[in-house]
Amino acid sequence: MFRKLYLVLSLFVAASMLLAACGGGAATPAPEQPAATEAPTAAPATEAPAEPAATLVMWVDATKAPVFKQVADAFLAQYNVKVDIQITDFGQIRDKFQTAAPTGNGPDIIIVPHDQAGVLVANGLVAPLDLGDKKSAFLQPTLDAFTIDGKLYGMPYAVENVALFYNKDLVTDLPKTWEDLMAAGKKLQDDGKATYCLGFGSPDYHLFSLYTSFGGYIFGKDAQGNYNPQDVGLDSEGFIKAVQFLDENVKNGCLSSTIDGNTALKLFTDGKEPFFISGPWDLEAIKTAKVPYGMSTFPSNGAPFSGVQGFMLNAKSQNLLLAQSFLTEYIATDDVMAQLQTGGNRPSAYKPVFDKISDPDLLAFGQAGANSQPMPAIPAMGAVWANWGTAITLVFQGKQAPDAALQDAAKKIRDVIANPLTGMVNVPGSYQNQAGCGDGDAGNWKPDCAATAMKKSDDGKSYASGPFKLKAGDYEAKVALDGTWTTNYGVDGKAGGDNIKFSLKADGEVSFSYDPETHVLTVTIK
Amino acid sequence: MTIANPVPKGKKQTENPFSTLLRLVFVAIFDLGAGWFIYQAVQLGSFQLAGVVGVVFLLVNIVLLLPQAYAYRWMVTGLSFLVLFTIYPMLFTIYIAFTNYGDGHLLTQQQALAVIEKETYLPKTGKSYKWTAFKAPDNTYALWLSDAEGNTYIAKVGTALLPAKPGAPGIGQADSSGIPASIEGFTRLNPILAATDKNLPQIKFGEEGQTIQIRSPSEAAELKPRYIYDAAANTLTDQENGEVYNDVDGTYTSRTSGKQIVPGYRAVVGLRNFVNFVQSPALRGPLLQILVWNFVFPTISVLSTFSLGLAIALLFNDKDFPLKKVFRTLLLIPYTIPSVITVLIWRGMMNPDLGIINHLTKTWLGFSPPWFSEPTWAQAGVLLVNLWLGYPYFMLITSGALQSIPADLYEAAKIDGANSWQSFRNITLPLLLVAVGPLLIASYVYNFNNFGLIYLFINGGPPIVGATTQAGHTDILISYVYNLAFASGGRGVQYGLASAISIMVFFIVGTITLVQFRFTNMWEEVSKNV
Repeated sequence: MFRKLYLVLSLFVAASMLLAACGGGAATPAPEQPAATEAPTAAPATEAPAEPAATLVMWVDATKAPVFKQVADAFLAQYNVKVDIQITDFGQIRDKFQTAAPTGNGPDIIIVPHDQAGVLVANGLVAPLDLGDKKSAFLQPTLDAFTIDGKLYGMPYAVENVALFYNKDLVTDLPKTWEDLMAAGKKLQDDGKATYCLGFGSPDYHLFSLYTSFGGYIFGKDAQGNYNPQDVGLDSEGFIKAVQFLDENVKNGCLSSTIDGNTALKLFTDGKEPFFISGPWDLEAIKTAKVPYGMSTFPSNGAPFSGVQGFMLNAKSQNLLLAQSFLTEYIATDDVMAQLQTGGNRPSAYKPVFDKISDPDLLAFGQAGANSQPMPAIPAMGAVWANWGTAITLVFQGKQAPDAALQDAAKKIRDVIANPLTGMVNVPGSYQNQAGCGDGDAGNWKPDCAATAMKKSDDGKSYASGPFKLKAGDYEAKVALDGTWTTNYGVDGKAGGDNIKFSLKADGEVSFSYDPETHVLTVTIK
Repeated sequence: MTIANPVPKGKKQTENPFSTLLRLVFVAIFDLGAGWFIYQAVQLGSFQLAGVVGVVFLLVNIVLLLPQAYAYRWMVTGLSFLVLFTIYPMLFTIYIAFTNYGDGHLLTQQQALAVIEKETYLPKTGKSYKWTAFKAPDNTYALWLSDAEGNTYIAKVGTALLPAKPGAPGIGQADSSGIPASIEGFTRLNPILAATDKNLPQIKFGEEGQTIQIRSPSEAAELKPRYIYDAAANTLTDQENGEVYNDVDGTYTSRTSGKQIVPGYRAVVGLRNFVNFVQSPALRGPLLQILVWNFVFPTISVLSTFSLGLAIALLFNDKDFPLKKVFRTLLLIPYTIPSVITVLIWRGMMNPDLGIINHLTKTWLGFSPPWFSEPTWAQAGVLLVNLWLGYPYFMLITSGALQSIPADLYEAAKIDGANSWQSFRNITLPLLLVAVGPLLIASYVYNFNNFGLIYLFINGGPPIVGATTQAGHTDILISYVYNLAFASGGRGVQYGLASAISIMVFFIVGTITLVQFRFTNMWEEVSKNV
């Protein structure tokens, strides 16, 4: 009897341990191979075997999924390649992809807005792609949006920008300037027909066209036409003027001092707001509300931001060639691109489809975006988003004057972009491991090593460091600014020049001095 | 521990051979699984995870195989989970705090090198072609290549390129795009079918030394790997121009030009995250102001929710209270609705333009509180919502605790001539605090990190004027850090920094808890004296 019980008990324990072991394995992120690892065979499509020849995994958002599901079915039937469409929230795709991709578990293809492309490239998670002959079928600015360091990383499919919505019952003459717009709104407000003159979702992205009308900009451009993060335009004259204009209109009650996109949308759909700036994402709600709306370009030739949405490829994908072929041969066709345009409510980035737009709303968005500027995709943009809206919010709430708020914001952005070591002058070189920068080779050539950073002289005209006790031997060094190699000087103060050489015949002390005017480094050996 | 080996030696021999077998089979299966997992983890460069699974692996083996460890067999599952899901994440967080893990340094060194080594370049003398794949029945491939000048070739593995024209012997007639329909012994594949073979891009066509690889659906070229890795020196050499890239904190950087190769990888950077957070004005921001509010917020929250909960509980403690059950049920409702929804409803009700609360105050008081723009009102708003969310909990807890206070104490007090305030002050409160004290601390710690409420209700706003970072008047440490390290803080995702700050927050919360436990000890002294 006892033995039997013992047997049953030990069985039970073993089983529970097994279960537990299984549970543990499943709960920890098991590094599985992607599903698409079956032996690939280029079986002729006509035979239609049960097993697909390969599987592509694709992350798309819910609004576009139905279009892609159809495409996937047709693709499976024609080429026996399965496209697994997985639905992910558009805003979350990048975050989730960043988690999944390094482990090899990520999808082969994702859709992302172009301003996230820069980070994905910097993280090494996406592969460049080649559109071949199809390249000329895309609108050039949309290709530029996905080009990073001269390489194309995405296949664009749609462009989105905001447009000026107006209520046809309230507005008969479209305003030519922002002043006209506010005046028209103010009149309606005084007549009790409108709560506010103009509504918008956020004071940064949505109102960008207003800032550009006054000459404001975010980043200046360098000689090659790339955005230059060193030239922050948030506190430029035009920008301050624009915000002063907004401030006046908040003070006279034309604009709400609380910025809230949902409230603005509600007021517009209730017919209590003559003008409303928004994009395709609010179109559905406005249509459903049956408010008599029209759409227009921006007053005073204002240029909105444009965002480009496109496909990107997982650098770790086992099916890179297939994924590219799928995009270029199958997605980049008139038929599929037209379906994507209708399903997504955004003008296509694909010329043959874009040229044939007939839907009035899409046309209006296209016209409003005709002079648009692509949202800067450089990583520095993150700092701008964080501080731009805050500055305008503070002005709207009456906490800060426009110029002060914008100067604060611009300073914060410059701080983030600059990195904490801005202003550091250093002499990275092969002597640094003897000066307290670390051991061996790893302790050398460090432009951010605090132990060898130079001190400014009292008159501010020169920098000095040392003396450092060094062993006899040959050494090389350079001057580097701001703790990075971005700006560095070599022999004779030449930018990016050759290494400066010096040697000690016996153990001794070395000091450096640097002239910020000529960029020449002087080495003194004792 | 004297119970380490409760099984007498003689008894071991009675173990059923079947159960021994079962145990060994289980150990074998477990070892196989764990071994495979460790192998995969090492392949991916996740050495820490491999190490931890290794520890669990050893633990399970020792416990199940050594008779001396018999007693621990019952605990081994729990211990394994403890190691995997509590100890490992903690150690991992500490480790991450000392690295630059985040945007730009997301991959491990192996993963980053794998990406970098995949990069190819076309040497100046190299040519590129358009390609069409042909396949033989024995699964070998031939490529039909055409270069920019319009010359066409057939490429096979191991032999030099063969100039060829459509229509020549053994080659079919050209179709509209100038590509032959067939080559003798091979069938033509369309680009998509060809691409289903993922080995195709790896095949090197042409003769040794001048091989051609498929780069994209439209291009095949004489590609060479761009970077060669020297494992001993940990450097990469650019084959195109000979530039050498050294490893600088997880980024391969050229010493001569300062150019960097993307992607970087996760590298240990020492105390930099901690130092930067304390020193750099671009990170620290109005830290002190946030810290002060971070203490004020949970203190007022706990006091207000506890007071209101207790007051209601006292009210209901009266046996003659009419409709007690109905009221109690109604008052519990805030507790039963998910706080995410409640917070958003409050947000809507407090909307200055459309909200019901502001509508009412405007009609009755002629004043619309600026809940989302004035610092003091915003803080009051957060506290108000938290009061609504938190009082039912304390109402429940104190109702229970009140029942456990012996009624004779009150009778004695009455006889001694105490009024009801005195008996509340000297009997109810001290005895209640003994029971509820630890819960007050728990509530304090919870509110200290009450990210959900702050984030959903107001996202830390309104902004602090002149702050050097994105910081608001209702920001607590955890929401401030979230904006700094994850959200739109401008620096992208920074796991290293976030881990460093979370460790600092841990020490703050730990200290508070310790200090407060001292106070609870004090209350226990009270209870002994009663």
